[in-house]
Amino acid sequence: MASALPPLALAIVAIGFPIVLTNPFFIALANQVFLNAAVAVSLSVLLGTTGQLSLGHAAFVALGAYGSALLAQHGVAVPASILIATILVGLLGWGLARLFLRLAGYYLAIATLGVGLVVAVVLRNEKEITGGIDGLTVEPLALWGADIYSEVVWYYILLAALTLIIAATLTLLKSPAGRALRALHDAETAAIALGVDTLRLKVQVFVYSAALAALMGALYAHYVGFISPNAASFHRSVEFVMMVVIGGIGSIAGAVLGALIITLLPVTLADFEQFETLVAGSILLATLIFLPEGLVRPVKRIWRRRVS
Amino acid sequence: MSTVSPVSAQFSDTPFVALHAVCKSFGGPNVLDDISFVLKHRQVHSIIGPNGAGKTTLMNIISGLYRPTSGRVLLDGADIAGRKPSDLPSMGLSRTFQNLKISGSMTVLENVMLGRHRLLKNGFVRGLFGGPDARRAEMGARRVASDLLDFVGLNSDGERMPGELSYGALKRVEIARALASEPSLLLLDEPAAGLNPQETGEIKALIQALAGRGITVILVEHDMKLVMEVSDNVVVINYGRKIAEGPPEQVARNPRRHYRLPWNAGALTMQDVVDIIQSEHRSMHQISAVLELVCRDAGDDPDALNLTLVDAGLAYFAGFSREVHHPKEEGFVFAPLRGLSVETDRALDQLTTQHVEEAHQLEKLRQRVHEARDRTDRARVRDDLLEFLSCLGKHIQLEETAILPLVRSQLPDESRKAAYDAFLAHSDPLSADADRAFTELRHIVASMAPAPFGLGAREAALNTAVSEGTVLPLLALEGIDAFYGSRQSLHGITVEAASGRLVSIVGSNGAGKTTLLKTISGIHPTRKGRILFEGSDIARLPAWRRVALGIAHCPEGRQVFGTFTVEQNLQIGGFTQPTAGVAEAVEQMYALFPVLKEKRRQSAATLSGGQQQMLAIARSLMSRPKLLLLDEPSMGLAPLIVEEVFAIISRLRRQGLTILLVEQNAAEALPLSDQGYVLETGRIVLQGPGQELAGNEQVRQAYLGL
Repeated sequence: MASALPPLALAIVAIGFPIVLTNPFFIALANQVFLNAAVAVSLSVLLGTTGQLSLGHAAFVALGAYGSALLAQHGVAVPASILIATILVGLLGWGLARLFLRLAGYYLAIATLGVGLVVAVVLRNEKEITGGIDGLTVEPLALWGADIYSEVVWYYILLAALTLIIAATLTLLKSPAGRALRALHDAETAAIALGVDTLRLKVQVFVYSAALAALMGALYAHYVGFISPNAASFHRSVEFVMMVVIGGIGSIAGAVLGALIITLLPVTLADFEQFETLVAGSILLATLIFLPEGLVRPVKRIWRRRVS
Repeated sequence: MSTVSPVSAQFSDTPFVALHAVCKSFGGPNVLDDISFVLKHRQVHSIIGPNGAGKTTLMNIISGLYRPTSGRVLLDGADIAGRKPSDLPSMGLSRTFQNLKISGSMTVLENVMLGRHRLLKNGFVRGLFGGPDARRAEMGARRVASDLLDFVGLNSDGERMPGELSYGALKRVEIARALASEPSLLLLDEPAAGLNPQETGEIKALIQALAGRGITVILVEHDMKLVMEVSDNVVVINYGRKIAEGPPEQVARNPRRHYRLPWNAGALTMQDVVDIIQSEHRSMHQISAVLELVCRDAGDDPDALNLTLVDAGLAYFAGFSREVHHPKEEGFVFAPLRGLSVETDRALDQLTTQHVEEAHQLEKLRQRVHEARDRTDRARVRDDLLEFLSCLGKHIQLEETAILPLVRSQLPDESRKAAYDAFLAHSDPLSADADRAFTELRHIVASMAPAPFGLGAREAALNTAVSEGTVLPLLALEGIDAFYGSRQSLHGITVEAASGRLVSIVGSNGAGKTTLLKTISGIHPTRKGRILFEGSDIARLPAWRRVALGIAHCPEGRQVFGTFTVEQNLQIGGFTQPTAGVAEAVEQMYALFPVLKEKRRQSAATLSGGQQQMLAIARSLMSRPKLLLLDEPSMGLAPLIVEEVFAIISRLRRQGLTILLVEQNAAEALPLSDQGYVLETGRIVLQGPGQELAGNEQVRQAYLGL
């Protein structure tokens, strides 16, 4: 019973938030957090289970965003464009995974970094299609014939998306496939010897991760109404990795918490003006040095000790 | 509930695993050469052989992780070539690993449930949705896994993390996990390695219980006692080739000789019989050389003669020639050669007479040893012994020059075959008990021998700075406490090592032996207590400063720098020394370990385990230490190499080096040691002179496996 309490409280806070705090600025911030959190979850599954580090996750986000935007520009209805873009990026992820997954460790990280850079260059230079550095205006999401601009409605859409992604991911991690995934990073040989087709599983989780990033990218594009190549920048990819690391690699709650911190940090540190980055960097360094396992696991341990 | 249903174990004598002419090379010479055998259903098959023989390669081939270079592996009639390793579990195969492969981020129960993978609907997309079916399947898997944890005796540990369990318990978790995939064939790769006798007993009971579940077991193991007790069939391999196969009692007749055989390619050629005879001669030569050295060392002082050692050596000669060597020589080699020529017959007559005389002489000599009371008696023993050894040497020389060439050229084919079989111990007159007696005698001789033999190590002066006549102990630990996080691993350890002494610390795995050495060398911090080295407290000094003071740590598992050459490894060992002296020190090490000189340009990773241990010791000596910390130097080495490693240790001690030795192999370590300490769960529970501890009933039961 006690374990059902915190999620319930969290749900009430999440649902009640825009009703209590009606300031659109806060709601917009929350929407940013949801978007980032979902991408961080997708990256955490990849990094935390198989140990594969993607330094190009922003590229998948941007491809989802541009894909859906361009499809919509060419007359595809907006919810359908999101779905198609997600599937296309998933296919791309499959191709890349087949290509790269024989690489291990640092090589894979460098390969994904390369993909990220290539995508950013293409988005910046192919002015005819992508609008170059000026970016692209994106059609709004239309549901039941009505265009959706309201921050509050988007709040619930993004909350629902994040909730679904978390639920599916947690279910996955508890399933036989998820158990095999979790065994991969420190007992891969044993997993193989027990009948786990590890290569296939690695490809699958890579596709899953890339597709989720693309889905969130597409939602982002239609939510904001404008996209630019900055979405694919290396800086964004590193931000996603930081969210995962701060919260604790492999921890889903940690990814959400990390997204919350990394998204809100620049806002709360705005008063420091030009020292903002310095302060943010120091906070991150301190976290890594004093809480190398991330924020969530030590808290969980203390909680468990207090309960037992 | 029956959790394991054999896939195909209807008949106990149908072939189940078959290897046909399997070869494997990793680019160089064959690691496995023409291995063929057939294993039957529902039995325990053991694969034994010294380290580096190719056992693990063979395991990896049977479990599909490696592909043979040529040859076939059939599992229940189906060729496994071309199958992905992850397909093999569905063919009924499961395995455990020599080094644990358990996921540290999942609970013990989840690790065992991983074994159910192939039997569950394990699709990725299905995993995203869950649902009542998935929940039911998961509950079922959970039940099976927890039943299996019951079966291996860990029923209450399912929800714990692997890091909280002992090494022995984790070995059993691996067995439970392997069983969870419902195998009909289970490969156990050294399940008893690193376990104490009690834990080994539990593994033994477990293996025996497996047979009752209809599972065929392939066991790779160094613990011969375990192998002999649980196996139905034993395959012996060495140098990548199969050299014997049969029921354990048959193979047991002389397993040590199988190890010793210098095996050449080419099957039943005459060369083999000669090789065996020569190897038996070599074996006698070794003992003979030791005894000669003992006499020489005693010099003009007969009181210094070590009669126990002499007696052991003589007993070995007597037993070995009477029961092993002479009857086979006379029956299978001399007899067929008779009538070739007058000279040959004369030589044969002479040799046969010598056999008889030799036995006589031995008898008298042993009598004399037993009755030796005073100086005069001992002096006579020494003189007679030297005379006997010289006769023995001449006898062997005559055989090798006059007879062995004839064996090569003149012995008829059928006689060759008979001689070969006889010498290969299959029709050996020895019983297993007698063999054990030889083993013990060899151990006594090897461990007490004044000089090491084999492995290319030889007597050479060591340039160590020994402070003669110091009264203070070189090293004294006073009330050392050490922790891993919040877990205390050492509790008030107080240990002393006097200058020039060999001090052993024995105890089971996880007792804190390695941690203790690490606190002395400064790799692991102490929280309380003093470490006095030459009288001053070094407990707060960093490790590199302690090396400069004269403490060298030879770590567990050797830890040679595999990608560096042998010579570079040695040079790194001289890091704290003035550059000018390093080359000279390297030469000294080569004089000490000629085998290292031979391999100076090879990368250290290409050395055998025993050679790597030599290199690790030599590397430690490069810093010209006063105190050598040796962590498990015998780990993972074949019995004969272990003997030699210990011989080298006792020689280093005699040359004045102070040694603190940590060993699981208490049976070898304690008798050699001046002082011994028994460590149990981080506390010293017993201490005393090494010989005394070795005789202590409590120690014998807990650590010597007696």
